[in-house]
Amino acid sequence: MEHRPLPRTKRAPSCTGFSTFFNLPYEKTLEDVDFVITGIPFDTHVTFRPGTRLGPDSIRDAYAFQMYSDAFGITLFDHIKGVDYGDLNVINVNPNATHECIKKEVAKIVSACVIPICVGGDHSIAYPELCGYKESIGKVAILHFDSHSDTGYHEMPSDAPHDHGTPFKDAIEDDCILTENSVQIGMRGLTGPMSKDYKYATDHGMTVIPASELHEIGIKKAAERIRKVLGDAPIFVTFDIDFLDPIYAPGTGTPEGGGFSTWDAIELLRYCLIGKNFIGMDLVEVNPIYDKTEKTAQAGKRIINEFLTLLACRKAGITSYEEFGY
Amino acid sequence: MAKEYEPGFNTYKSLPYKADLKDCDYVVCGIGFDSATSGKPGTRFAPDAIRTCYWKGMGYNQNLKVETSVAQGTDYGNMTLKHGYILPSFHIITDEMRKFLEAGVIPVIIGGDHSITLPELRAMYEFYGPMALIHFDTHRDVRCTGTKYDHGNPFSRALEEGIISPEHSVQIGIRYSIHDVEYWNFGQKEGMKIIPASRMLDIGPDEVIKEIKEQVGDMPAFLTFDIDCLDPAAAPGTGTPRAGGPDTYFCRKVIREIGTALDIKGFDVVEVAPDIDIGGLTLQAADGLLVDMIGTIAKRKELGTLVRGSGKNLHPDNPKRTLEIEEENMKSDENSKGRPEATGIRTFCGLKAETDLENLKDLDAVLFGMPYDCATSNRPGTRFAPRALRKFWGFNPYSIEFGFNAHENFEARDFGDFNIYYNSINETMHSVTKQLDKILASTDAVTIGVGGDHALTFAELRSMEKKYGKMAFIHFDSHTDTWDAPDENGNCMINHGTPFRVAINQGSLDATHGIQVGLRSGGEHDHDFAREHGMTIVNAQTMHKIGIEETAKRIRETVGDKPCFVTFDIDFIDPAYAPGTGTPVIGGFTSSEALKLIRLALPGLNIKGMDLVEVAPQYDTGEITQYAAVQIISEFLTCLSYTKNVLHK
Repeated sequence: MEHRPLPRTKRAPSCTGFSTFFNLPYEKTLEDVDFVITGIPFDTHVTFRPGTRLGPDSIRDAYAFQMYSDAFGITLFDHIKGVDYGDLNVINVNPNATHECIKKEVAKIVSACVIPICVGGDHSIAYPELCGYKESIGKVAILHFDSHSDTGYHEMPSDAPHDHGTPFKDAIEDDCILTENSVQIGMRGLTGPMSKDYKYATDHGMTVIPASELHEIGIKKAAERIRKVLGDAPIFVTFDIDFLDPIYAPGTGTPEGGGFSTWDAIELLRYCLIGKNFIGMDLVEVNPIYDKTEKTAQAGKRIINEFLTLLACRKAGITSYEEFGY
Repeated sequence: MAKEYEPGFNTYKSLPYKADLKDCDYVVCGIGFDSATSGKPGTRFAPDAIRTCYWKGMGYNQNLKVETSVAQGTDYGNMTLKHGYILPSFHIITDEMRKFLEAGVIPVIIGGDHSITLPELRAMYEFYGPMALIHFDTHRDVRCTGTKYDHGNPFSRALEEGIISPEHSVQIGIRYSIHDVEYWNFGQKEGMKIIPASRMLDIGPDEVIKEIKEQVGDMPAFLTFDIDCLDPAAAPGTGTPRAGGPDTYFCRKVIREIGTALDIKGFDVVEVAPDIDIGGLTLQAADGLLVDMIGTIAKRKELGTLVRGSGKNLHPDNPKRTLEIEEENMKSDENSKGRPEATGIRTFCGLKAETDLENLKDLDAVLFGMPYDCATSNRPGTRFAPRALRKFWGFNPYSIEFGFNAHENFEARDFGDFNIYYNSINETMHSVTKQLDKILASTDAVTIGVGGDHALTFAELRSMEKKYGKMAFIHFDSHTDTWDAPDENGNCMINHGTPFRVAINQGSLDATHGIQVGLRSGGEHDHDFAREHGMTIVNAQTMHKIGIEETAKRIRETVGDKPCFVTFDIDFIDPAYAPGTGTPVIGGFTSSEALKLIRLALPGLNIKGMDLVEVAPQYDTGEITQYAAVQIISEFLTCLSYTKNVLHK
């Protein structure tokens, strides 16, 4: 089967046919593909409003697909191939088994030199994902878009050590992250930039650009700084939808005002990642229960779409975002 | 006594906050734990949300004829739990429950998902020994596989741990059987009694009350009410709803009677998920149940039959035993696999997808979507139905009502959606006919179409006729769909109000063996047309009077053994149960009545094709129409399997 979006039946609208990511064929294969998109409908580690287990399907359904990129002037699927890998075998009531499953699957995908795009689910899935990367190709840098630093803002009891606010603390403790090459951006949640979690990240060598700073210096300046930090490291992009302002993404468990627009996010991705060695991404915390108009799912889908565009650019040999001059 | 209610702090019905338990008869406490949920989560918010219901305080219970304040109560707030961690949270729950029971009061718990009932029962057992369980639910919650402590499991664990007494326990309202007969039989040979929803509705509340009383006797009992026992039309705000349940009147009547008569030592109401509720419907339903539960405590106190707990722990070694059992169970949990079939793309009823005509040959049923809504006269939107309906499961492996394994020796597949041409009704009709022709040429399976609007049925019939000749038909609807819409030449045009007139005129249907059921709109012309062609009509007026059984009988008599097409317009069901449709008409039937009619009418008939049309998800609230629609498709499949595997064996 062609691992490109299935041709739409003549004049049929997008709400028809089996629902898959970007209308790609559903196939559990790692052959003849550049990327796979897989759902991880796990939300047991949410601290406030659960429901992100419904995220993958809401993104499959969402109306947001840009086949042609006018920023780079290419048609995505002239250059890349991929499939909807289905959902991972998540058991919401068994976090340990789920953790193992994610780790194993991600390692398998990465080992096959395929780029995994994981659609959450809550942010706790980033930790097993990073374990999977470590197992297959070693430590990776993270480019982390979020309103929370997710490096553990409070003490966790010993019999309940993880939640969706701890994945990067867990991953640093487990030595999965090239911290010196890693960037967290957009932080504004809960405890503010001077808190313990921010300190934990910077103490371990990560660069943190809080929301206040990003608003002040703007996208291009920030991107310049980020590119320097990222260097040539393999980059795992982890995008928590609450990086966006609740105006753009209300459908999430822990929204924080004072965020960024979808356009900001897309531009930031382009400027930061063009020509860089990105090796995978996840898009987490889309929660359709609070997403009345579907706009959060559309935003999430479009961000994945932009990541695919950047991948297509790599394949097409485009290494700079022209107007920016890289 | 503790402090009186203070404005600004919401206790349940303004009960005093954390009063001395010695002065109390009952204690209300919230357990907002939902990390053991397999469906939609969100029950963690239920305790606080239910406290906001009609807050004025405990008054006179008119149904029980008792002043509720006769019994003293207190609100102990919510337990502080560890989200995401089941067993650590369970131990907190058992410890807290123990405090209530040491004081001899009756706990009235607001969940949370249903997993919390297990740690509650563990504490109850320590003080009262093995208890009678009175369990209202859609699901038996005794799943044999999967993880050990999730919300589908509390009573298999409770039975294994010996903390409930099966021969005095009863489950009421059951209508979903997730596994095969093994799941269904669990606990039954030990004496556990089941009153399935279909039987419950057949025999009525008085008989249900009688049977529960007989089963429980004078044992100390625990009453647990999973809100999904109610029909989704009455309680949409829950993670795993299922159409075909009782209403609140029925359940509250049963609770009042048995609560007054039996020695109930504890209550809980679980699985209310406020953020997926619609207009507070589910919250109010839960609050009503709690009011009657607490009312029965007051009534028993007034009658002098309320027995206060001794506060003596009869099984102090139970916590140690529990830990040992848990350790053993968790070992086997490490291998739990989840459900692999749930990890792919969505299909109708979770069936396998099959888009290759070659592979349809030996199937029993082929389902396909027809996402087209441009022949609609009123509100469009049914184009979204096939995708929306693929979100839901529902096809019971074990059919509770027919008593057989419906999945065994029965193969059905989802063929995907038909090719549709949005800008032309005629092209779409031709396209659907042509695509169905291809399916019918490659298989003798029963085809089940999912609309889309009702005009598509005409396209299907044109194809069916080529293979099976003029067909008998059964048409469930609130409309006649035999309007006349003549073009300039006087020929009736096709739209979603005319398919049966056009199909009869063109010779696809045999009107003398056709029956229309549930009609409650339409003009004299339509009825004249039906009469002229010898069609049988059982309109809603008649059906309400003669009842479901007699209607089913007339359907079977009309159709006989002719090759038959079954078409179900969702607006046959009343808009209270199925609001999500373009042209709803009040005065219809409940979803459980519709399901019962299908079960009585269809088995054994020579059915060649079926469809379910006119679901418009945007006009739906709380997905209740979609749950009803999926249940109808599932019932179609069950009837086909029953015909093949039981009747024609």
